[in-house]
Amino acid sequence: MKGYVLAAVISVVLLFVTIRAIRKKQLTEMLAILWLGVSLAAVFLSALLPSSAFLSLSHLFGVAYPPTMVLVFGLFFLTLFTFYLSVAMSRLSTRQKQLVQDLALVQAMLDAQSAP
Amino acid sequence: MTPEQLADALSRTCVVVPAFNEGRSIAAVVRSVHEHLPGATVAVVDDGSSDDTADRAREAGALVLSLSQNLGIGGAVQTGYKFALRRGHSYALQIDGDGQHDPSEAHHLIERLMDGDADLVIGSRWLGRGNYVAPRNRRFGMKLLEALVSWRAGSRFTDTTSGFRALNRRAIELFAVHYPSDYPEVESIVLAHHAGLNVTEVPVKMNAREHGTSSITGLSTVYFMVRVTIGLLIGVMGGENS
Repeated sequence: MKGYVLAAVISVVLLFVTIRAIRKKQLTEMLAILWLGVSLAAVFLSALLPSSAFLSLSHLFGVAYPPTMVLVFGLFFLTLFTFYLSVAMSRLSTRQKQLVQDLALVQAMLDAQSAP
Repeated sequence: MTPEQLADALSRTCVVVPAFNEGRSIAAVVRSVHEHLPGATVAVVDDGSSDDTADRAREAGALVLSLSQNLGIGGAVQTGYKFALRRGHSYALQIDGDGQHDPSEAHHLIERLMDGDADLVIGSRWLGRGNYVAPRNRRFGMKLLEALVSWRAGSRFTDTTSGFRALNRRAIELFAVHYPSDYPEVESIVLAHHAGLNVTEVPVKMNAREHGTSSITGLSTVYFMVRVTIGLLIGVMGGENS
């Protein structure tokens, strides 16, 4: 029973943290919506955890111990999300490289103009 | 080739010199380029140096492209190619800022380019001229790269890591858009070959470096080999480009 309470507390805290971050404009729109979805799903799941519905869902996937389901889905989500972050980070570093290059080229152009 | 033809080619050449903390050798390199390649535009790309590389280069008469953040050799060299592209240069010549490449050898590269059938000419230490000897521990890696590149690019290359190279307009246009970020020399040969460019080598003499050490030492040797091998086998890495 204690496990269920812990799961419920964690998911509610996650939802709270997400809403706070959105209010403080710390997340871009897409990621805000993603985390809102994730934290709402977590609250929903933790409410579902003690029910027989979750148990039969687990059995449907051939999982004997229901909490394992949470771990499996959690890992799957985290793997996908870190991959997405890697792609996003690579894109940002490429753009940053182009900005630094363009800045140097513009600077050189200005230097040439201001030279006597 | 007549001296007039070479002089005309040099007036349309941009010499790209990537430099990171090369304050001690950059002025000598720039002066030597001016002496041996009269009429060429010299663009030193200062890759976010913390020393006086930019000032030394300017004093010696070079144009300086100052990167506000360190981008690594690939990003720095590519800046030079973008510069050459925008300024409408017909040729670009890449020379390292550490004094390892001798500008008096550069005309071999330009002349080979002007023969007309090559788009990218690489100066090779191993084709007979000069007596450069690679450190013993590097020979295996160099042999491996040589075999991989020769296989992927369809013809034999002896000095795949050489950063002493000359490009015509077609090659400048390609590299201004697509150029690997770290350890770009090896992959860029295959990149150019796959873009339909003609890549060839000519023999040059090279000096042992005057100051500083190779950027590829210790653990980064392992990263270098893994990085380059994957790049050669799977495809050139490095994300989107525009």
